[in-house]
Amino acid sequence: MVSEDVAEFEALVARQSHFVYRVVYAILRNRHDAEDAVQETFLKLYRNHTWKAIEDERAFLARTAWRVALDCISKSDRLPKQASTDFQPDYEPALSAPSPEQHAIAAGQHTGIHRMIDTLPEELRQPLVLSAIDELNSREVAVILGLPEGTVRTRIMRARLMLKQKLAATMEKPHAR
Amino acid sequence: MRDDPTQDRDELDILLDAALATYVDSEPSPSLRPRILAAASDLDRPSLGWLSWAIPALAAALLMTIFLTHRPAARRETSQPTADLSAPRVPASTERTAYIPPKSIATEATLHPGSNLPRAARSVRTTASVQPPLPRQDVFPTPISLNPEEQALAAAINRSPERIAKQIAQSGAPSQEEPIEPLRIAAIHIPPLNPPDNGDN
Repeated sequence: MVSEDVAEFEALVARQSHFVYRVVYAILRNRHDAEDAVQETFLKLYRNHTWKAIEDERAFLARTAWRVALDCISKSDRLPKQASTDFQPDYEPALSAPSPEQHAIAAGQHTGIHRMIDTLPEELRQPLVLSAIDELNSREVAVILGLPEGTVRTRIMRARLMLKQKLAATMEKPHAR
Repeated sequence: MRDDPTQDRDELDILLDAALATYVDSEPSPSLRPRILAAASDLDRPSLGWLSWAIPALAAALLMTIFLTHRPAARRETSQPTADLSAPRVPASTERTAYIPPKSIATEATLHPGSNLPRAARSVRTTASVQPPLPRQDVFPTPISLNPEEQALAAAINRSPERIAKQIAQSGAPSQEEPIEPLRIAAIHIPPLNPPDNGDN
């Protein structure tokens, strides 16, 4: 490969590797697997020389990374960590200014909600977690998943609704005691 | 605090958004970028992986070439006895030439230009001894042009065939019309050897 191309590729890696990592990490939820998937994503582009003629760089990279992540899941024949749904926090939601104690409680809350997210069906989980990445709007998520934007929005709403219902149910239990 | 359902919903939304933000929040290791670039530069290097299949393929092609080039030779060698079996035609001719005087051999060769019997007989003898098999020709035996002596003889015959025939008859060679009389060999008398007189021998 010509040195100019190499320099361009290095710039692309420097520019987008963090973003690609976040996309695959949202799907894989494992740091090592995500790094392998990021490397595979960029090497795939490098081999095919497709990275030179990309119109929407981020959307293209995100879609490629998403496919590589799905391949990783299918190869390892496993899904992201499945957590039990009987998450029962015995605390009040901490929404005001976080003290260290409240921060620890919030971390516990988040861990519980992460488990809930893991238990969502993949068709709902993937649009939800991709939309949670700051850099992606619903149109880009639709491009990545190859779905209409309206479908993506509907799935995100359904996922959020399911999570809130579960969360509300778990938070009702301590109050019912 | 829990009495207002809209407030609950808002709190849940905020809680959910915060949890989602941490769900996708992870930083790659600093070595990821150099690792990707190193792997990409490895792709640029010429790989020697092709040797793993190219060497066996080359060896197979070489063996196949050797097999194909030596196989016709082997077939020729095996077919040589067949040629020898068909050879009796030539020895029969040579037997025939044994009855004819040397001059008449050339005469017969001239009368039947395609035959070339002495040469054919010679070639059979040499082939059977040491010479490697000759390449197969379209016409067998291969026509050979007459040597100068044979050409001169043929020209003389063509000029005056009657005179040549008369000369052959005069030379005592049996003509084709007259039956060949059996040879009569007189009894051989061998006198006893005289003893050496002085013993000088």
